[in-house]
Amino acid sequence: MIRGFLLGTLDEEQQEQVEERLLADADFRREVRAARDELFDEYAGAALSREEREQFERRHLVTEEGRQKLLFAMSLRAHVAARAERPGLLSRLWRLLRAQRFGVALPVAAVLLLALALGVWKLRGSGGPTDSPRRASAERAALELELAALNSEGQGAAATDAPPGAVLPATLVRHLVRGGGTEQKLSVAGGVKVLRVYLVLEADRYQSYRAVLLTGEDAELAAVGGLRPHERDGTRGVTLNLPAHALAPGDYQLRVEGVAARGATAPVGLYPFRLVKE
Amino acid sequence: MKKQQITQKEFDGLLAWLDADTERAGEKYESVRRGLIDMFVYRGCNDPEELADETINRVARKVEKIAPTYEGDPRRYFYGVAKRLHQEYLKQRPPAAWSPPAAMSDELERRLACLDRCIGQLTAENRELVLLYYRDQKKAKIDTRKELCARLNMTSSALRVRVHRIRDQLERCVRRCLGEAAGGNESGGMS
Repeated sequence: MIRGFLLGTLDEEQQEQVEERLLADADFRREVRAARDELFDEYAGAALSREEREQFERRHLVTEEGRQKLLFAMSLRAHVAARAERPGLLSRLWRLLRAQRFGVALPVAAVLLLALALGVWKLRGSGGPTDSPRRASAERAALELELAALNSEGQGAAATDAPPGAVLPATLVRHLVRGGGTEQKLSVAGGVKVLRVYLVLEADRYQSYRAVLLTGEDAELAAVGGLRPHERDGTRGVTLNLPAHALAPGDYQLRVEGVAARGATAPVGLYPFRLVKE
Repeated sequence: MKKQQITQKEFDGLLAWLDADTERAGEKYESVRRGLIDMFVYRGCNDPEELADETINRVARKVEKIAPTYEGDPRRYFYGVAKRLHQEYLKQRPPAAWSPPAAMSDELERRLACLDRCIGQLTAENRELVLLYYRDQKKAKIDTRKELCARLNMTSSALRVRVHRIRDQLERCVRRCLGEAAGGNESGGMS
């Protein structure tokens, strides 16, 4: 009921019941605010259907307060994701140290810490997409929000709202040998806004798929899930819409993962391509 | 929208109508005001506090006339006035369509810097709770939250409200931090 109220899908009588309760019940107000937070998180995480996205945008993103809440939800998501990666390395280091006897632990720790420091220095100096991890998180969050909008349920296989000529269709196949095979080149003219990429699946085993956009050097740029397989020209595949402005000319890869029950993912294939701008 | 302040007499009359007991009347007043603000927020209004106050003012100006014969919970009357006010609001300020802010990455980067700082200011327990609560996706997220409920001996609803309170604290902290950063930039003191 609360979710329906926040998305504006209740009938008038139900909406009145909820709103009147807001005036009288502090616990209920807190519940509704908490539920609204979760809707912002779902929107930021591309977990709403297209219809829900539109309903949400109409009610909650038309005010400055709503826009600020969305930016907060996106930054919280990016912060938690970044923290989820770091402890892995530190906890592995900690376990290794604890497994050693004291006499051995110190030199081992010194070597590992030096390696870690060098690794951090290299990462910061390499340039990658940006020199700042925080900047990279911010860019990733912004791109993922855009990908979510372009690929929300009902959008993937159907026409977008983009005018003719603004959408460039392309088909990519999986490469069996990394670095080998025919180069898949996408030539993008100036007016193209969206690359609509059809990724051919050799075997369709999952109800939905996730695509991770990587640079040619395997750096992750963004990910989008909820891609539903469909048929095209006698093949099965998923369609992914990519914003053209977010891709500079160069080499990229799309790593496609099947999403099983409980959200676990399994690799399906790597789809490299080269983007050329005309 | 025509705005006019109310007199002390009108305000006292409003409180008395809500409840004969002064303390309970004050609590109901706060509850009504808070509820009206939330209602206008959820209806996508840009000035929810102003609209809530105008609703209350309009009711206060009419209390002397309607209270003697009104039957039922006075809060329903507030609600009716609020709905009419919302209609007036929509005529004057039709909602603008959503579009993502330009330079969103810049906005997010600033927020991430503030959020890092603000999360660092939480207690260790609250920090861990927030990071665990928002970790994971889909089914794994549901499982993590179930584990948290069991660990903290809370219902999922109570956990959600507890995390919401921490999040509210973080949002306020980030807003203050962004305000400080903007103030610093204006004075040229921060890079």
